[in-house]
Amino acid sequence: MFERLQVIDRRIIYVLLILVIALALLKPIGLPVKVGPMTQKMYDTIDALPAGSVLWLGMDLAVSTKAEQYPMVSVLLDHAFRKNLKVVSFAMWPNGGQIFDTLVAPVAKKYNKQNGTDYLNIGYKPGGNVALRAMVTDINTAAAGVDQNGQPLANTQLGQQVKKLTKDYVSFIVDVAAGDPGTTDYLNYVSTPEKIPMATAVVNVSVPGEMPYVQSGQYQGLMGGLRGAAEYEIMAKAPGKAASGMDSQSLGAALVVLFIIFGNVGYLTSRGKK
Amino acid sequence: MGANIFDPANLTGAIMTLAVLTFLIKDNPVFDLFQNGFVGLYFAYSIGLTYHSYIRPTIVDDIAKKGQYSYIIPVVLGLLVYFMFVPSLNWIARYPMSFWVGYGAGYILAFQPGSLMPQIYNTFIKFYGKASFLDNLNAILLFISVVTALAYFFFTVRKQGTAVGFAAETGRWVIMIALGAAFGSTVLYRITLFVGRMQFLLGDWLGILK
Repeated sequence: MFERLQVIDRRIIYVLLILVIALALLKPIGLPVKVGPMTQKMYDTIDALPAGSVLWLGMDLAVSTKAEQYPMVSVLLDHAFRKNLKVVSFAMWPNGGQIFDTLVAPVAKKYNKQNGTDYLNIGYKPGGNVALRAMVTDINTAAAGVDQNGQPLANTQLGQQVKKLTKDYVSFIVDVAAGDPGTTDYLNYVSTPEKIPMATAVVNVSVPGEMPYVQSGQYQGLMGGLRGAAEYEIMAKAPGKAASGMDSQSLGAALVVLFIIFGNVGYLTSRGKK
Repeated sequence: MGANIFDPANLTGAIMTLAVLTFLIKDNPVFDLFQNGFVGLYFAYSIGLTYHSYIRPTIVDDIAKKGQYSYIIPVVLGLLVYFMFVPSLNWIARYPMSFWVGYGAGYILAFQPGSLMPQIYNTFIKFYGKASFLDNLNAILLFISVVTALAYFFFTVRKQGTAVGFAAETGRWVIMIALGAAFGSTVLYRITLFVGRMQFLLGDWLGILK
C-alpha cells in the first residue's frame, strides 16, 4: 500500500495545492509572522536616514516576480516617503522602469509626492553593470540624458541634484533584484568601491546565496521573498499583499513537505521489501 | 473589492494565466501559443524601450546635435557583430567579441576582489568578545563547512583512508545540505508565484477576496 505513495498522480497534488492556497486566501487563519533580524536590520537602517537623504532604488526585476517583489517595492516606497526621503530609481532589467512607474503612483498620491522633485525614475538603460558603473561617473551621460519616459533629466530638480552615483549624492542603496544583473553588481561596482551602504530585496530562491553578504556586513540587511516583504510591511505598519499571502504560502509549503514525506515513506517501505 | 471580470486588462491577464496553467494537465498548443506570445512580447518591448530610451537619444542628441563623434566608435564596433550572418566575413564579428571579453575580464578583475575579500576573512573563525554560545558555534560550523566543502573538490590527491578523504566526505554532506536549502527556497519561490496568480484571479479579476 505504502509503495503507491511514490506514484501519486502529480495532477492530484496540483489540485490539492490550488485548493489549499485558494482557501487560505479566502479564509485567512492569521498565522503569526515573526520579524527576522535581516529584515529588521534593513528597516532600522533606512529608518535612521535623515529626511531629504537620497535612497537609490535598483529595479532589477520583471513582471514574472510580481508576487514577491511588487509588495517589496511598494512597502519600501511607503517607508521612504513617510520618512521624507528622496527616491531615485534605475533599472538594469527592461521591465524595471515601467514597474516603478506603476507602483510609485499610489504611494506618491498617498504622501503627496511629486515626480522629479521627490522621486525620479531614470528607468531602464541597457548595458548591465557597465551602465551601472557609468552612473558613478555621470548619471546624465550614462542615462543618455533622459528618464524612463524620455523626459530630459536636466529638467527635473532631482536630476540636477543627484549628478553621480557616489556617496556625495546617494545615502543608501536598495536593489530589488530577481537575478542577474542585480545585487552583486551593485556590491562589486558601486557599494564597495564607492563606500555607499546597501541592502537587497531578493526573491526567495536567491536568499541562500545572498545571506553571507549580510553576515559579513557588506549588506545592511536583506528582505527575502514574500516572507521578508511581509515582515517589512509589519514593521512599516503598511499591510499589503505580502502579509495577506503568507497564510497561503505557509500552508502550500506545508502540503509540499507532506507529500515529500509520503514519497519518502513509500520509497523506504518498498526498499525494505526488496 | 468589486468584480472586474470584463475589464480588458484583467480579462487578458486572466486568460493568459489560465492558458499557461493548462500545462499542469499536460503540454498543449494553447500553452505553447501563450508562452511564445509572452516571450515575443517581452523582447519586442525590450527592443522598443532600448531604442527610444537609449539608442535614439544617443544618435540624435549626443552624436548629431552635440557633435560627440567619439560615440561613433562603439556604435560601429557593435554593428560589426552582425557580420556573423555573412559566412564569408564572419571573422570580422570576432573583433567586437574579443574586445568585450578582454574588457569584461579586466573589469571583473579590477572590481570583484574588493567585495570578495570580506567574504574570505569572514569565513575564518571569529570569536566575538560578547558573542553568545550560538554565535561562536555558528562561526565554527561556517569554518568547518567551507574547508570541508573545498576539500571535496580536491580531485588530485589520494582520499581513501586519509584526513583529506574524511574532510571530503564531510564536505559532501555540507554540499548536500546547502543544495537542499537552495531547493527548498526554490520550491517556496514557485509556491509564492502561484499565490500571486491566485491573488490576481480571485482578487483583481473575480473580486471575491476581501
